Amino acid sequence: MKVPYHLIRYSNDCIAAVYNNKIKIKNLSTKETIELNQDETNKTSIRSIAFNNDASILAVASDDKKLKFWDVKTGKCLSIKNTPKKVNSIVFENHGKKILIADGFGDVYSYSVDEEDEEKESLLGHVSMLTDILLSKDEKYVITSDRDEKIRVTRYPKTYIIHNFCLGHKEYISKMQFIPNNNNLLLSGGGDDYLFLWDYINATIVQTINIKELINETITKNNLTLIDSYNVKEITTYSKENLVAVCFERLPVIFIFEFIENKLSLKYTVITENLILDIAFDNQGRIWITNFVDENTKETITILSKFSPVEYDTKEELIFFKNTEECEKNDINKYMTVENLRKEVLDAKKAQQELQEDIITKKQKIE
Amino acid sequence: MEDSEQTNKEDILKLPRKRFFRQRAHANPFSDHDLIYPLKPEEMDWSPFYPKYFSKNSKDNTKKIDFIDVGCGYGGLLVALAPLFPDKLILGMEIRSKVEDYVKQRIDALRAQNKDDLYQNISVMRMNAMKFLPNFFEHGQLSKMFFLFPDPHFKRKKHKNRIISPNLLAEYAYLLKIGGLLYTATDVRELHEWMVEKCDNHPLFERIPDEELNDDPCIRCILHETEEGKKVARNKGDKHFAVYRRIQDPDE
Ligand SMILES: C[S@@+](CC[C@H](N)C(=O)[O-])C[C@H]1O[C@@H](n2cnc3c(N)ncnc32)[C@H](O)[C@@H]1O
Repeated sequence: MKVPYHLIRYSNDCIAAVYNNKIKIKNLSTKETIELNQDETNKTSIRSIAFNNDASILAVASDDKKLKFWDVKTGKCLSIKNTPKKVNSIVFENHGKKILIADGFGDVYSYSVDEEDEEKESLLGHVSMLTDILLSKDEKYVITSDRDEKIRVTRYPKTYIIHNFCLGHKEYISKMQFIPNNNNLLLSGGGDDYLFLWDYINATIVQTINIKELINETITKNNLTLIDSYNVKEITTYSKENLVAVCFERLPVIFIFEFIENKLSLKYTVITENLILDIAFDNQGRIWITNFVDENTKETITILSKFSPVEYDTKEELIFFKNTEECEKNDINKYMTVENLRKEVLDAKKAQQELQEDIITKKQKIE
Repeated sequence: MEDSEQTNKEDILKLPRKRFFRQRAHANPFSDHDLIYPLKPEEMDWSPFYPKYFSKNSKDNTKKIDFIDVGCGYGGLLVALAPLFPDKLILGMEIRSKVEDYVKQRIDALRAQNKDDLYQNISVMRMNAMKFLPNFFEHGQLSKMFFLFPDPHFKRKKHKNRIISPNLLAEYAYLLKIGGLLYTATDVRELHEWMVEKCDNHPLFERIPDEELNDDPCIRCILHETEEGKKVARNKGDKHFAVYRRIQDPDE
């Protein structure tokens, strides 16, 4: 059985797909391909990646708290940095020389791409795990989301000025994405029953989308397996047609919304063959889907080219991505990263751990 | 029936005794999943806290909290400030529930003992102030914030738990009015220097020279009326304080 790709990102003709500690990149117009190995020695898993705007550099953060910058054309590692904590999200500045990272301890740092030894700069921090980070196109605002329902809008580069807080989520936030062709709206989702469309400059809610209802309807209509909770896995956008696609953990469904008349309206609901691990729009408006791999899975990646009726694209483009590594079995739970952000799940895990420790200490006492 | 009401009343009138409310000295500000907080400031119902000034579900509640005492401990500062600022609403925030219980009973007793509106302007809440202040207060709402004798968290690794830090100062600056004041006090020299350094380095705060604070009645309260301040005096320790003004950035 093949190891699945757990991440996929697109920027300026380049698509990058990640499995374990490796990355495969293909330039869709030149057809050039390259494979990167983030950690040859310990094979630690990759946690987050980001391209710069022209897709000449890829920043990659792995579970060993290593941050590497890769030259996408040559496959050369440009520099390696050590981050204090695991990195959950990365964003490049427009000029591509600097990145901002959001970490599991709640802090945001900036790193420059080249100069190997240059110190990181601390920009801001929440007292809560950070899940995502965005930088507005005009680079006036940096937006961070956390495990405690908060989205914070901070001035950039004067990050000592907090602009506002977008408050409304009742659960953790996992993803945020700017609305295409618009300078002040973003969509956020997480463990909530709703997606929120924010005017982030004024911290006002423009629209809420009841995904609980949407998902339940879709499950009933298509006879899908019921799930316990809804956890937004990814939000990706296609600017030419003002489309916004959203997918969830443990659900073979993609909702595609159109941004029209200052509102998002559901345009397509796509039922996929496999459980989805990640999605990314390319510049032809196709959605690249990385599939969870089990006995029934045929492809590690599928390209959705038409949404109604659904059409999948040529296998030819996918040959490069066909093989990953072989393994005996894939554990779906290993790939479910966002549902663990739920407080009750984490608390339950903590309680279990404490119980285990209690038992161990008691045993030791008896001995 | 009458009987129990009677004892109840007497209970309220009696000031609580601190020794029944002792708790572990340090609280972990990162585990707090049982706290109750509003989604956003507009949704907060303040009527249980300040029944004289807020009515339930009423849109015409115009009062807003003016001062907060972060990590208020046993509430000495609140009690001292109440008569000095009768038209300001003052809230103490305390993470340890037994300590918060004590302060609540103390305020209830003081309110019951004083028939006029004295002590109606102070209240206490169990809360983790490091995490949830933006849920309670709006941008530029507060005019004073007190951080008195905070837990020192000596170990380097625990510095992130300190209640004054560069990251949290950005949040305090967001909540304070331009011209609003931030007070710190401690008996730990190293912590004092740390807090001064962090505040000095924050572009939105400016230190007020100690000589200019002679007329500020809060200074006497923070040094002599807080439980920690009294304890330090009994032990003949040093007391350090610093006051900062929230200033405006040209880009704000
Ligand atoms: C040493 S005591 C000082 C009490 C009081 N300010 C005085 O001067 O007497 C510090 C207090 O801060 C509280 N505290 C610590 N972290 C807190 C947090 N994140 N939110 C609210 N209170 C906190 C502690 O429980 C403790 O009661």
